[in-house]
Amino acid sequence: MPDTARPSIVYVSWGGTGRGAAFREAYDRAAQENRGIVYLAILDAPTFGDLDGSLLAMVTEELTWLLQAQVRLVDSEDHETHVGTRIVVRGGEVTMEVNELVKSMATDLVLIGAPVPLGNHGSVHELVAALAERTGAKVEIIDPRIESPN
Amino acid sequence: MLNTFASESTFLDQELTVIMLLSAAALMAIVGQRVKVPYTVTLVIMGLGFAFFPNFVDFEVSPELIFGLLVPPLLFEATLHLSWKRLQADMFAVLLLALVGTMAGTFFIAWVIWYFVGIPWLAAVAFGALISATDPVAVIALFKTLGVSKRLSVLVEGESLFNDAIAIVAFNLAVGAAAPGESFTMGEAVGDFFIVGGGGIAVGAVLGIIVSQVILARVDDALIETTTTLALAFGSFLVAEEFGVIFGIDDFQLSGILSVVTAGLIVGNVGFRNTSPSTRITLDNFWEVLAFLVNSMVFLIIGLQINLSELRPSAADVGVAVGATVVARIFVVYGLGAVHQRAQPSRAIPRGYRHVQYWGGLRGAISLALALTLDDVGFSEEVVDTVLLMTFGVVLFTLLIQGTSMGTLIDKLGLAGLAPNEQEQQIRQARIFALQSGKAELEELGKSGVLFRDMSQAMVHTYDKQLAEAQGRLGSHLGLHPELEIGMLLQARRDAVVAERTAVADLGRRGLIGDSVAHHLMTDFDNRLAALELIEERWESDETMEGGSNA
Repeated sequence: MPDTARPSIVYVSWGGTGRGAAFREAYDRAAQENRGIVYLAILDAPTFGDLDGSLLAMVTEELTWLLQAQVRLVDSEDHETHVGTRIVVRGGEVTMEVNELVKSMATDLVLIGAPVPLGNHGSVHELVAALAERTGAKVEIIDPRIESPN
Repeated sequence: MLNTFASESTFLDQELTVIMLLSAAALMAIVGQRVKVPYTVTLVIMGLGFAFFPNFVDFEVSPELIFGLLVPPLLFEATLHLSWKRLQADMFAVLLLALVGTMAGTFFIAWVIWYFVGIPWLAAVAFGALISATDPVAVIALFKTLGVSKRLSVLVEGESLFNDAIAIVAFNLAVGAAAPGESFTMGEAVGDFFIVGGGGIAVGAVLGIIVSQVILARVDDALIETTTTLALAFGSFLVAEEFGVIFGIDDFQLSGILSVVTAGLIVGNVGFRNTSPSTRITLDNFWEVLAFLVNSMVFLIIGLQINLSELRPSAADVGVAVGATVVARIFVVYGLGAVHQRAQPSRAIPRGYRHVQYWGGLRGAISLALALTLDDVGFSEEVVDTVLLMTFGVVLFTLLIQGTSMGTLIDKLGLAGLAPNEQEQQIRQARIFALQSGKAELEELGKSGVLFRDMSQAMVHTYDKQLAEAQGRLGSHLGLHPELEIGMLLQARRDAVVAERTAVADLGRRGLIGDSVAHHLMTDFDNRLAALELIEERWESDETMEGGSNA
């Protein structure tokens, strides 16, 4: 069972449920640290901002459905520890939404699955620095294509 | 105005001609799918074949028919599906080719034709302009069949939509300057170019916004909305072309092509977002059918219009024109490609795409229609005939030689079809599906007593074992390629929603639920399908992704 004393890890994505490998790494990381995981999916303004309310609501509903299926799939695979996962889908600006969630949970770790859709965020380095400064949490990119030094 | 058919034709003859052409279009579409050649090219070949039966198809083509009736819906439909976001991402590359490339190509071809063929300079410029208008219809149809990337489609289609307009403006300026009593100055030409082009964009923008925000946003009726978009396609073209007549300004005309392109872009990217998904499906289906019909007519007309025996005596001029066009395209695509590479390295265009842009620069209806308008301007009959034959020759060469080899080129460059891991996934999925079907058949035979029970059960168990192995193989493949997971999830979710929709539609047909309930539920399913499409298009988009190595 996850350690309820420690806040869950926030795994953030604003495009690319296809990066299932990155989420699996985040899941394993949460399992190792005996923590839960909150999957924050952001329908960011530059990509989804033009949708009207009802269509955006439907996109949110369907994305939640797909992410739940994906999380159940990962959960059904062999793991030493199973991780409690919660899905949160929000529309808005990436740094603002991450900041709001991190503050509300008082978590200390934010993971972002690579490859990262940059949009107008400049480089990955700039984005990570901006998020870390704003949230006060440690921000890491998880890129399963890069071999771990261990 | 539209001199479609020879005047002596009876209504029955005309009807018969249309029926034959439509049947030919359907037949050629089937042939095209089998031989991996754009069906439009097979239509041209069929059109050429009709020349051997002059009394078989009684058809006369006028520029008004092509420009007034065929070009507006074609351009409108093409822009409806052009994502502004994707176009914007590659706008620099598109405009570089469409604007600089078209002008450079026009003058290069004009110089070669003027020097080697010996026609007057303004006639050569008119030819250079009309032959610089690329026609993406044949290539885009092939792209869809082969499944090439959306970015490549946007690059090819975007260039073509804008260069049509630019070529037409340049052509009209050259032809206008050739009229008796007119002269040509570069300053005036550039000024006119921006007035005609900018005015066309403004007209299309105003009409497109009105239709998107007033009709499509406020009316929820598929028939009214479809009819309005049809009126917009023709109306935006006509208002721009006849702007001077409508507003009482002498000799004032705007670009109808840019107007219809702008209107289509606005409706496709703004207006469609304001429609309900059910209406969107009706609109998509309507425009798909209309585009197929119009495309078919255009390419059959090209074939019908070209008389191979007339080309033979002018083979040398045609050869020069083909050579100039091919060489100009090399300079334009690769030369400007290098410029683009330096100016915008973050949006570098892969080399393979360049080859497709070069070889896919086919010429079609716009070139032909422009050449046919030369009859009424200030060039001699001999010059007009030469330009017309050179146009026929280049159009024919690009369609028959380049068009028929595009599929092979795309295959060789590895730009089409499924990635190996996706192919392997589909093979493994198909095996499971096949095994399930085999197992179900054996169970049925066992139940009906055709197979005795023990035999049926033994065979079903064997299938179960094979199925377990096949599912294990699919699972391990997905383990190695987790990026395939979402495609499967999306597809499965779509299939499930479609199955739910079909079940509700069935309840409605059987009268087990009321019409309003059925309509309400069907709208919900359509919304879900639209949402899934958006997730696939935007959430799963690979645009401007970056890894974590530099974090």
